[in-house]
Amino acid sequence: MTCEDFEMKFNEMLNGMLPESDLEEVLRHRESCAKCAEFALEMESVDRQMRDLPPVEVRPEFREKLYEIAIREASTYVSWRPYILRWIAIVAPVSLAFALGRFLPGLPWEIAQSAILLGGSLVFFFESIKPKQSFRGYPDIEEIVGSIVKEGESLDQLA
Amino acid sequence: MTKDTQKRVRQEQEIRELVDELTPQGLTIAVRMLGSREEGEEAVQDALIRLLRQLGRFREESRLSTWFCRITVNECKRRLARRRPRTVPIEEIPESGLQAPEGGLLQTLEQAEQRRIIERAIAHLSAIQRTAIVLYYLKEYSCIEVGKVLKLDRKIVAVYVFRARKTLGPLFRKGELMP
Repeated sequence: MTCEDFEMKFNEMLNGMLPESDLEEVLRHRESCAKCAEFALEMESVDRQMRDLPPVEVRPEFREKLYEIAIREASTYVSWRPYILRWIAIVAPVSLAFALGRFLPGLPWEIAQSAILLGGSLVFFFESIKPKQSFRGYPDIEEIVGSIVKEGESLDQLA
Repeated sequence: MTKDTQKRVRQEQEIRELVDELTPQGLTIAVRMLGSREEGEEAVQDALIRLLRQLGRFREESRLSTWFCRITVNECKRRLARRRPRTVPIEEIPESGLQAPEGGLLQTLEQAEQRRIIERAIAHLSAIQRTAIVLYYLKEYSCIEVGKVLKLDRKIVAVYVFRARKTLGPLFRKGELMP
């Protein structure tokens, strides 16, 4: 085993990815090569120091700020899907009425015009009653990640 | 309480829980990658907004936390790319402002100094090495999990982690972190 091979394999060992069959050879090289023994010691030290590094604490004021931002984001969320469907539901019959009135002889043009006017009125009606600011239309988090974070559970377990 | 109000209250609570669950991990990634608490907090804030806007597209192909990690990493990468490339002397890199751990004063000071050295050393790594090693040691992820976040093969992740360790070794030694 060359020193270069040792470095790669020792790294794999630290990552828990070294096949058991290679372990003995790696350890043997470490014992026989002073330079690689020093390298291994240094890598073990880096590994230990990195593992011991504590996570960054979330400041309470930052947490509060995030709550505020997240709730505001969710409350002003607009899902375009229901509005697009609503428009399609109105525009489609109106277009059909227009097409029938225009291309089918015998069907009075006035009927198509009435249908367009009716459709327009319906659009104004639905637009006036649509929610301005609410969680309506926002994807239901509970549906997405299961019954979210009950005590003692984590999102990872649920998702 | 009307049905709508109930739903609103429930969803507000869920959003708070979502923030509680995702933020600590995201903040650790961002602060370590960017080397600054202030910038790290901004990055997490932007990542959270991005996640909330895209939540409807979440299809459970990966875990939500993995998805948030990816969004945070991408946000940090964007910020790193905007920075002008330059070599930063180890003494110039700001501290992340970690809170002091509990314990005796001497021990606290020693630990704080150790963290300062480690964080300064991490800031010396290239963006990809920094990302790989920060994620790898975050909750002790494996190369496979890091690969999922970065959309890279685990062997490539292992190489980045290896190179990062090799770079960090002498820097830790220089900072007298070696036992």
